[in-house]
Amino acid sequence: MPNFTIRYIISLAIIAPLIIGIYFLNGQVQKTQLSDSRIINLAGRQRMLSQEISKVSLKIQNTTDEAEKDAYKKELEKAVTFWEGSHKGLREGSEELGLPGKNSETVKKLFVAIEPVYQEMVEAAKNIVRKLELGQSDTNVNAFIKTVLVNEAAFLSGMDKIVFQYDQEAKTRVESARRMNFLLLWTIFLTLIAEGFFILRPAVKRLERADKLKDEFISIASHQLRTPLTNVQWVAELLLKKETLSEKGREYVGDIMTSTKNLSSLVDTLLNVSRLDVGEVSARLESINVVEFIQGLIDESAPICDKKNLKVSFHHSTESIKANTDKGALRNIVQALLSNAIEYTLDGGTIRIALEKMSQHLVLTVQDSGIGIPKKERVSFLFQKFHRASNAEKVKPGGSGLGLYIANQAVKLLGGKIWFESEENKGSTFYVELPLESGKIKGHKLLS
Amino acid sequence: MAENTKKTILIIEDELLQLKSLADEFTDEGFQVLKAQNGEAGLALALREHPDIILLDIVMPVMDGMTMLKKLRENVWGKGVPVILLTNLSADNDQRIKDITTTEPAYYLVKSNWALRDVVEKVRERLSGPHS
Repeated sequence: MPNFTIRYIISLAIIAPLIIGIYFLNGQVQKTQLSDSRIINLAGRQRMLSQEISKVSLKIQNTTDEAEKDAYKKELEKAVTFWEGSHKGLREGSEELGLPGKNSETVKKLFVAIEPVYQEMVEAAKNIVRKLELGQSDTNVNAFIKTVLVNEAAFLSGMDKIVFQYDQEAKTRVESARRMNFLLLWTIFLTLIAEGFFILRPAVKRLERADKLKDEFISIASHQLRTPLTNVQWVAELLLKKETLSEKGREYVGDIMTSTKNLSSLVDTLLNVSRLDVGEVSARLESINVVEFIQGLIDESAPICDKKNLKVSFHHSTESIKANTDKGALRNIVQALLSNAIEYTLDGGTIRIALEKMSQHLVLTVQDSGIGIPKKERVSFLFQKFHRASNAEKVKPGGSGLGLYIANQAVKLLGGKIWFESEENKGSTFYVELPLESGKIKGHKLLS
Repeated sequence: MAENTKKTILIIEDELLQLKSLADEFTDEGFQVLKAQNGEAGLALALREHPDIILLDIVMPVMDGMTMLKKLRENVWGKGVPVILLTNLSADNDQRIKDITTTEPAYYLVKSNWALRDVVEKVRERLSGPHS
């Protein structure tokens, strides 16, 4: 079904990028979260650094110890460098600090708002360091310290707003990613449902229909093929009975009848093969009385057995042996074994059919006093399609070599076993073991 | 009179050649033969003539054998008349036969497996059997 394949591939083609999309989206969310938390941390640290700068500036103002002053100066210088670097990174981005520098318009505006305060603080702090290095008077330095302290509060409140804004934006991003994820998952879910409805269900329906059509075909083909055969057979029979024919003439009509009989059984055989040989057929189980069923098949073959003067007997322990099995397959098995027994047993011989019920199985035995199977025959070959035992041709020229193959396939379908014992010129016994409940081997696959 | 002991058989078969063969054979074998080529004609003939036995094909135009049999069984007389289904359908593959053989124990013969004289035998057996 090319249609099915294409549709199935299309549905996979829809689902696959969706799954990949979810994978990338989640990766992206993780990256964004990492970057957002880094930005928020740094923005928070900026607040702390501004406080640190004020604190150190005050310490510088309050000490007279030169060594101490020098140490505070270094501390201040370090803090300012960090502060400046982070500020630049937050506004413009920094690979080193892992900052993207892609601020929203709101954040940009907030940065613009605190920029004068920031610039004044930075310049003042830098001047403190510079003046201290030059050894200038405390009065000179104190003016810059005052500038730092004056601007600190404004910077802090401005930076608070920025941190808050960053936080809000990060939350919004996570929320929209979650929504996107949800949307993608729903799309996958809906695609799978659509796949079930529009691809798998029609495909299953088509298979069921094909199965039904196959059955119908077999039924119609068997009817159509048999009808003209019956015509020939019956007209030939009447010709033989009603008309006065020469010896040769009777022989010719006899030949016609033999051929039509052979053709008729070949038609049956081929139809059975077509049913069993599709690769995978499922057993259609129903509860039947196997004794009655086999008796029916024996009755059907009565005319030919009578003609060959064969003594046919059927032994069964009870009148009714119920089994849950496939009628068609069981018919295939019994007919194949019975017609082989009839074909390969010479006139006046015996055929003994036995049915025995075990706890879980039934065992069917078909024993004949026929020509048997030569020892040299490979057992596995006998169950193969078109294979015939080497002595079969002499007794029945032009056999199809399909009987045992069909029986074997049908036995497999029912989850049973088939085997035989045979001695050339003495006879053969075929054994078939079948489960009473073939349902337990549901879905058994045929080997073809 | 021999005529009075003659059994009447109704053969319902759409395939003309087969109808002819069966009719010839049964006439030869001393039966009074009635012929019909579809279920509808067969049913009318059966209900009018009350034959001793009916040979019934399944796949036929106008009215198939199964429908005819069902209608026949609805009739007081038709309930008891022995019917032999004669077809080339195989029982395992055809739902129609499955349906009917589960509702009544019908004799059922696959034509291509049976010679004319065997069909006659079967009919005689049925006529003398417990169901007749």
